[in-house]
Amino acid sequence: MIFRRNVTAALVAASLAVSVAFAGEPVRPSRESVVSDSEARAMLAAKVKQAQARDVAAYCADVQLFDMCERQWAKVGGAKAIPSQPPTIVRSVAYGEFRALRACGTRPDGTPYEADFVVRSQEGVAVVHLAIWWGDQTYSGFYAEGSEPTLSVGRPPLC
Amino acid sequence: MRHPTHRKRPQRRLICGLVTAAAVVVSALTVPVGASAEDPRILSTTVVFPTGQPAAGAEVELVTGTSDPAADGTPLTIMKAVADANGAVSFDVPATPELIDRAQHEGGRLRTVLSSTARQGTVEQAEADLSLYFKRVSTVWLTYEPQSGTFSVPVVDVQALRPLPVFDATVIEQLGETTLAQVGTLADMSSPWVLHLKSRLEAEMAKRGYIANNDALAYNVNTLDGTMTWVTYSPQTIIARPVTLPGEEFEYGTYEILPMTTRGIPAVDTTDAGDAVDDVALTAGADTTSKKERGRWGRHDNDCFTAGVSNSNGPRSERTVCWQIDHQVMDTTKGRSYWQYEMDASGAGVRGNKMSKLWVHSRPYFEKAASQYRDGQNIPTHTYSSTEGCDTSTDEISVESGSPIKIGAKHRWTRTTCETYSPKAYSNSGEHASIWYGNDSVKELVYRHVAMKTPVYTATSAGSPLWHAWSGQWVSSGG
Repeated sequence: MIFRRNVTAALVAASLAVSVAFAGEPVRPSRESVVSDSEARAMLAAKVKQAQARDVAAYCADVQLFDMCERQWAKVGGAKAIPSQPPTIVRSVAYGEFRALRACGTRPDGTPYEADFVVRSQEGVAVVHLAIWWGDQTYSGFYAEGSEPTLSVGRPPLC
Repeated sequence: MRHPTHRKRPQRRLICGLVTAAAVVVSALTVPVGASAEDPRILSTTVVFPTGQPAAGAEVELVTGTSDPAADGTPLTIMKAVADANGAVSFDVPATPELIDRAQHEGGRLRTVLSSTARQGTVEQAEADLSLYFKRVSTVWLTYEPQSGTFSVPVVDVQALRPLPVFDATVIEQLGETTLAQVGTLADMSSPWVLHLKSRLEAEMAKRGYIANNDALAYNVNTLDGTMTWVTYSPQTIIARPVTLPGEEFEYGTYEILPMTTRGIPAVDTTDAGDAVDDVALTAGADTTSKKERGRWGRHDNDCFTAGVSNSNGPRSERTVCWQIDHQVMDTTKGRSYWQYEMDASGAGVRGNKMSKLWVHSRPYFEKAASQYRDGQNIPTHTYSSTEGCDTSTDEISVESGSPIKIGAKHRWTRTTCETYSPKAYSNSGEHASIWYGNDSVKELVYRHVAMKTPVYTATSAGSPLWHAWSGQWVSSGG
């Protein structure tokens, strides 16, 4: 059927569009130091412990993107969605001055999560950039002006 | 080729035989074929179809004696026949004195129009295929040769029955009985017959309810091959039902809709001079193959990334953008899929640069994915600004929207009054922007946050929606 072909074509085209976007590679522009893996894991451990207090304002207060932190906190389900167990880190990757730890685990309601806990070095100071490690947001790096961001569409989960 | 069984009057007849053959090029030259000593004015014409396909069941009409369109030409004979199993059809046309007189009156030529219409299979099948078969009209000039008393056919230029699929690669959504087709780019049309055709087509489409929303149709006709591009501007869609229009209702060519190409649409006006602008575009789409149910919504896809304005000295600004697409699962509305698309960004100027504008902006990727329909209000819907001076305060906006299921959360929006957070709505369903317009007192490394949520639904059969996901910043030095 032509209509079915059209739908298929649209999906294929959409896939192609996504595939093209995959071609972009993160730029590593930083002259800043990169937060080490061990330092990033230590920062995550501290945040895991802090999250158990279930105080969003306190949790997000020292996060660089505190608005985004509060927003993601709420989107995931609020305090009741915070796992009591620390996540399993399946990947640690540096994007310039950013470092993302891929966190895997299960929320109290039984739903799995896969998210990136992102830290960075800014002016020599390590700060938490994206803090909701039990959420759903992944992170694909830093892109210079005009470069093509990478999409996560179709990427296999790491968890 | 003669078909004697159709000869009711063997003398003074013009026989036009229509035979399907696997020829490729039509320029069948048949001068005077079949003229015999017994009846010098009997002429047989063989018309070769170019498609190589049998046209069994094709309705063929032969109109003899028409004049040029500009002249007053009342047809002298109008005959119809149905092609046989071999795709052949013949007409017995008497070469009457009237025909001869008309030919002599019009410079020795007699214009005959041979038109054919065919469908493949049943009407239902054709509708299911969204194929449209139009009548193909060919002009046959019969030249009267007084000395021999015969008509000759110098050239038969017939493209015959070439079924052109309409909406091919352009149907983007099938929603109930409604088909959305996207088309675009057009050229001017000015020839009288194109204008005539447009009016007929438009009237027919409107009468049948294929056109809605007062879409302004425009057409681009290729007079060489007879194809027509059928386009409309705002809102860049034609709403039409799957159609199989009877070919006999349209003449002068075949029609097809070409896909729309949309390029270079700016995210937000970027015409302000002086500031550096970064407007990163990506395409965010849903992955229907990896459903994860969360509540009554299935998470489909999401990502965050950081971008920014840079120059040779390094970054001047940065923003981290997150987007997320949720697809409602356990939906009970037959034929519809519900989606919510969210973007937010936190950005700041860096290295002594000041951010003067920050935005996120989504535009449905109409060209490649399912059409979207509004399903509630985009969030935020109101501009937040101050008339009471500049103080830091905390406010909340709702970022929950959509029906029948509402999700989301209250978003505590820390803002400095005298700053303006503004939504920007577009005519396209699903296109929305949220913009922060800057504040001179906001220094470097002071982050501002913009967010939006767009609830839409799509036809389930149309697949997943995609968005152009734009975000951007302006920065200026100093601060």
